[in-house]
Amino acid sequence: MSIRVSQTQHTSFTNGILNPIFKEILREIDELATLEEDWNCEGASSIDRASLFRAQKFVNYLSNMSTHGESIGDQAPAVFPTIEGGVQLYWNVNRHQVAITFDPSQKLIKLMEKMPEAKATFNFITETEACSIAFEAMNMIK
Amino acid sequence: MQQQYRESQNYVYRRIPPYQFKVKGNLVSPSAFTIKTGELGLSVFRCDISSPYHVLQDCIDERKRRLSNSDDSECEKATIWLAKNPDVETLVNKQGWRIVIIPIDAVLSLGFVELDGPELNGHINIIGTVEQFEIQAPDFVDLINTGQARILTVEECLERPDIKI
Repeated sequence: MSIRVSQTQHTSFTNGILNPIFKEILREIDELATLEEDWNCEGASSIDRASLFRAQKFVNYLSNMSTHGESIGDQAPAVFPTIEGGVQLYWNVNRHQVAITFDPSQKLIKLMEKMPEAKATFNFITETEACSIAFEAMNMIK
Repeated sequence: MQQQYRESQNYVYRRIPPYQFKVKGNLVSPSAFTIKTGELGLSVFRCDISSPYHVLQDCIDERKRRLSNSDDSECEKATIWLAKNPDVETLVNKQGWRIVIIPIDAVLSLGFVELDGPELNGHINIIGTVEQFEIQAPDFVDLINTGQARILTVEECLERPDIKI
């Protein structure tokens, strides 16, 4: 049942998305819907439907922006679940880490950024700000 | 290094579940080093007492214990899980579980100073709060980036040293 709902969402979000990078990101986000509670053997939550939906919507937004001239770059994000049931888009290039997280407990998007030899910083940002950061991260040079 | 860490109480194993490890790019999620509210700390196993294989077997054993749970739904969930994950080979080869080995010194350098245990199976907690691990999770990943910690290979995850447990 849960998978069927998710596949419906996936279909709607992939409509019009031609770029294989974004299609693959959407597929990976969709896969997280299958994770059951305690998927890490340490009590992790199953993935929150609203967070999945927000992450899919965000990738759709990125895809639209890319068709309007934003450069996609070479660095596709890794898609990770969080133990609180959120969805994370994550880059780790030359020790520069960037994570954009859709957290069930937050309306805003959580941003983590860590440069080499520096402490990680954490902020809450809007979808528009997250979009700029995602394109910057996708254009990081290895 | 392999023999050295196996015999050393100065290294610990951290279990990494599927979806928090990507073969492509050999990436581990920072979230693999966070804890949920109510947990004492980050769960790891001492290398001199346990082995990568036994760390993963522990996960299977925990589900087997749930089979005797009085709650039928818990029992059913455990049965389904065990059908999909009958042994360590399946966990590693099919599901994508991995183990990261971390030197204790590196953990201490991140500011975590208290460890409990070890239990008989080598399990210990790196004591800390939810917030501490949230803030330091990217630093754990950076230990891998800098080679201080290491993601074990499939072969290493499946090794079964006889001397352990």
